[in-house]
Amino acid sequence: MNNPFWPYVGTLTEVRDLAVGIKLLRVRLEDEAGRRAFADYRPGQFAFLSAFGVGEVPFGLAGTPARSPELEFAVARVGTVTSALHGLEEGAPVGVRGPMGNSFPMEDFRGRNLVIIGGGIGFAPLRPVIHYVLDHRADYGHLTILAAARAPNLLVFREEYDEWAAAPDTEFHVTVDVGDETWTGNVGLVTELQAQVSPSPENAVAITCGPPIMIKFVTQLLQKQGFAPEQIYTTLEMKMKCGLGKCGRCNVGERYVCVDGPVFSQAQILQFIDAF
Amino acid sequence: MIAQPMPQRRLSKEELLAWVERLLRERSVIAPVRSGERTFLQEISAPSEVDLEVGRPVNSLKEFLFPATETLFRLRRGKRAVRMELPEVGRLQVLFLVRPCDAAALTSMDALFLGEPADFYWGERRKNTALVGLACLAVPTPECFCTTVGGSPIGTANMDVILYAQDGGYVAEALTERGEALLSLAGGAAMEQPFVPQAPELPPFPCPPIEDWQRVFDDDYWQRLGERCLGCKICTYNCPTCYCFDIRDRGTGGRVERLRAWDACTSKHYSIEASGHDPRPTRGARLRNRFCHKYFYFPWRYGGTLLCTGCGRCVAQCPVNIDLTEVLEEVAVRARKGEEARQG
Repeated sequence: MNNPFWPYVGTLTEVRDLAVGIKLLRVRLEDEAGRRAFADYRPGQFAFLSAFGVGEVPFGLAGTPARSPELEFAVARVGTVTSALHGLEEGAPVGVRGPMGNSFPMEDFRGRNLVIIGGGIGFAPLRPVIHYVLDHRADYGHLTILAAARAPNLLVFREEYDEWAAAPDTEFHVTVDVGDETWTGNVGLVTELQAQVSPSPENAVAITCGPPIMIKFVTQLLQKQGFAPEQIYTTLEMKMKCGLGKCGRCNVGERYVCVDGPVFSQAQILQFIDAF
Repeated sequence: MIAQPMPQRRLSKEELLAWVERLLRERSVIAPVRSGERTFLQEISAPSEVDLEVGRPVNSLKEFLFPATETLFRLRRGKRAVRMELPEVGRLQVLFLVRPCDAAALTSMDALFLGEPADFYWGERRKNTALVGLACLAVPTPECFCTTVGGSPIGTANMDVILYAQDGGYVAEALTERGEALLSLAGGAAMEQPFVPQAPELPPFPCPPIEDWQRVFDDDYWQRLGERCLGCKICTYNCPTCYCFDIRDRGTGGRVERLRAWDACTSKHYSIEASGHDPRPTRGARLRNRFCHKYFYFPWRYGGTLLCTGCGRCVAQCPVNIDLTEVLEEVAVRARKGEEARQG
């Protein structure tokens, strides 16, 4: 039976706090078909995660198959299903459908400098890009990473900052809108940090993800900094039910985020008939 | 398609109902049934229930291939393991006295559901469903506009058998091998001279092409139309081609099921996100999405196939008289005006 609504069964092998209200869920796929389906998923793809009995929602895959055969999801608790997922314990069965959607064109990015700008939970789908580049370091040019969040306790994957900062030909910057008593780093909007760092558009590609308002202003500033719309990529989110281009929900004009995206260049987004 | 067309058969009303009786022995029969002043398509248990005078039933044939709510799977959940099971899908059924507009809807629904990755549930039901159509030799309702969207009152698309009401009885013609097998259960006599149907005339007006919808996308017309819309969703539920769906889980404890249910893009709850952000926050934006889906987004994706068959249900059933045929004319007029203004 070929049934795209039939989830692969997985087991939660790790549940830990990433930030306030955000958990990392690690899933081991239990059957061969599931492991085969996810054997070579790509940075930017997403999958539906089920809390059986409550529902399923899509998440950008936060890892790469090269670094972990288990799937990683960064789950912010915002609704019914994400609350249920937060309540699950290690060992609990979950469902997974995917991988879905297009991906960041990592082949096209070869030989180019990369600028990664991520805000809050929006950093999660960019982490696989960083992992991929670091694991294929010779294929890519200079890597600039800008991480941001509203507050220090909303930054995700902080335990990996040292690895990224120390990686060859890589610079890492982080800022928060508002600091706290433990914070000694940059304070200010991500666009202030972006202005300071002033990434060069020369042979470069910028990839950004975060809240829509952040994407908007980061993209505007990137264009001021000389990046053409073809050099700016983002990954979009819309409410989704099927992930297969069938349920009709995630359209922006004639495009479906689930099958035509979620990764789009700014040049493509400018062609959208409907404002995102 | 069949190589050698079978001769048409003439059936009296009594023979038609006797045929239904025989069909009922081997499969479910869905047919128009009168209830007070209205007729609904529903499963019957006896031929006497069939409303032979059917114009256009209130509901479309959609629910018999794509139920309003269906179980995708059932699941028993233990602490460490789950067992999933598939419900039975796709009993043998015949949809009887289906109008050409409803039958035509299956062309767009097949494009959607059978396109990769194919929908298992639609696929199973579709292959086990036969259609016996009833041609419109007279225009059944004032809201009909099938010819505007590429249909015909005597169209046979997706039918296995077509019936023409003629001289107090019926002329029946098999269109597929399955139709031949079905019709072999009917009595009646072979026609000596073939009956050649004449399509009745419908008022001609064109359907705006994709470019027109693009031109009027930011027109304030949508907001004005949205001010009338109640968001009641009847236009989507009884539409033979509105397919947008929701997926949810139901159940408590160890037994749960995943359900798929009709949804409507004209609903407030359709696109609003957990964060509270709503990409289509007004009724106008939601109505525009529905119309654009039918005449712009769907044909853009599926090689020109429209997501409308001109059945006229939404026109007849809208409680605030939002008339789709008016919308089509208005879009054409506004697109032309906009283009003239643009060219100075």
